[in-house]
Amino acid sequence: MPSRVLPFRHSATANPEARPPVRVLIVDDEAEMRQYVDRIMRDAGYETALAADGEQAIGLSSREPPFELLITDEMMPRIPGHQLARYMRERYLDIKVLYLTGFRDVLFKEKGSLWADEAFLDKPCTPDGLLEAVSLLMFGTVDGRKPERSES
Amino acid sequence: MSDASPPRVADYDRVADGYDHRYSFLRYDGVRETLFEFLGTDRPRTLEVGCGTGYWMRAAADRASLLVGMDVSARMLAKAREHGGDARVVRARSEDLPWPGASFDRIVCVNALHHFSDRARFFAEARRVLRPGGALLSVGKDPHAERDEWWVYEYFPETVALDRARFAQARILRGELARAGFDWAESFEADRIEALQPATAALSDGTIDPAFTSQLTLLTPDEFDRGVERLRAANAAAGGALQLITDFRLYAVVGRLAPAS
Repeated sequence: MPSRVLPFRHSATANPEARPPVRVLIVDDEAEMRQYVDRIMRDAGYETALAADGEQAIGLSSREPPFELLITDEMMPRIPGHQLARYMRERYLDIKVLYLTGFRDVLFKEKGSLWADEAFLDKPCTPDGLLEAVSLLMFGTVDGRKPERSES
Repeated sequence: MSDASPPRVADYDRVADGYDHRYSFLRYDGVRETLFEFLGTDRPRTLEVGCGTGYWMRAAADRASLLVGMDVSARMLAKAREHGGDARVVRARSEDLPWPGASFDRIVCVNALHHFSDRARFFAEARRVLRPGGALLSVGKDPHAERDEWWVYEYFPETVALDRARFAQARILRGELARAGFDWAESFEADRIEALQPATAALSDGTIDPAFTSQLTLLTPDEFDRGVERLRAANAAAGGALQLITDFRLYAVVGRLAPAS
């Protein structure tokens, strides 16, 4: 079966300036969810790596070139998503974080509020919903392009 | 072999709870001004090494686009985290900064450099993680200058030698910065800390406590107890009206890197 082709507007490399694909680390203890997010992101041109929990994610990050985006579940064994995100933001200063969680109440009970360069999306999510959230977080627009320079 | 005892290292996990007490009555206006001028108005990416409870991070929060604190003491960092917000705090050693090269525009150390076990290595690490045009600021005492008067030195005299061993003269630090590859180094007097405290109150309000300042943490229990006895005796002799004098200077040392050509 051919892989699903998404509209051009969602491509991670659709920027006018050619740039290498955005590197994304996807962390979820549910294999189906991990693979679902992975397929959507790869189809849209993002470069992905997968981890089943926080420890794997930390290990992977120490061996790989830096990731620009962390997409993480909140409710995971041992290291919850917000703690993983905190660790990653402290070591990898430019990483952005998208929480993908079915338990937003748990996330906000732990965190209070989101920080700069963080966003969250309720699970389950549609492919378009995920890509728009990622695009908004990474490029400041919903269509994967860098924002036009405004007159000011 | 000399008869020197092993170097004493302050355990900041012991100091954490009482540490911010100092900021409740000493103003540190000169340090604040020096820090703000050093950071400038371009909101630099800033690292504070030896951030402790995060006091100076909170002061600098609006002046940096990205602010990271680092300390070896887990309890100090827990205090820094209590204040929440977007503060990033990392437990690491100053001799081994856990970031890739060219990560920051400014590095700040306030009253921290004297705790680092290998200053030359820290300066080399600072040089590595700074971007071109970046700079390092360290603010601290210079007990070699002999211009200071401080009740801690007066009543706990063992602290004088300990501090002379820990704090380097500004000119030494400038030389070390140059050797670490900084293109330019300067030093200046940043602040003069002056206070008078009634000894009677200080004996009961937590000031005379190993947690107040690392100088007292470094003393053996005997040395500390003898100091407290000296102070009580002096206070009794003064009819309970003894004033504790604080009058010392803090010096800033700045190392700068040339901008990218």
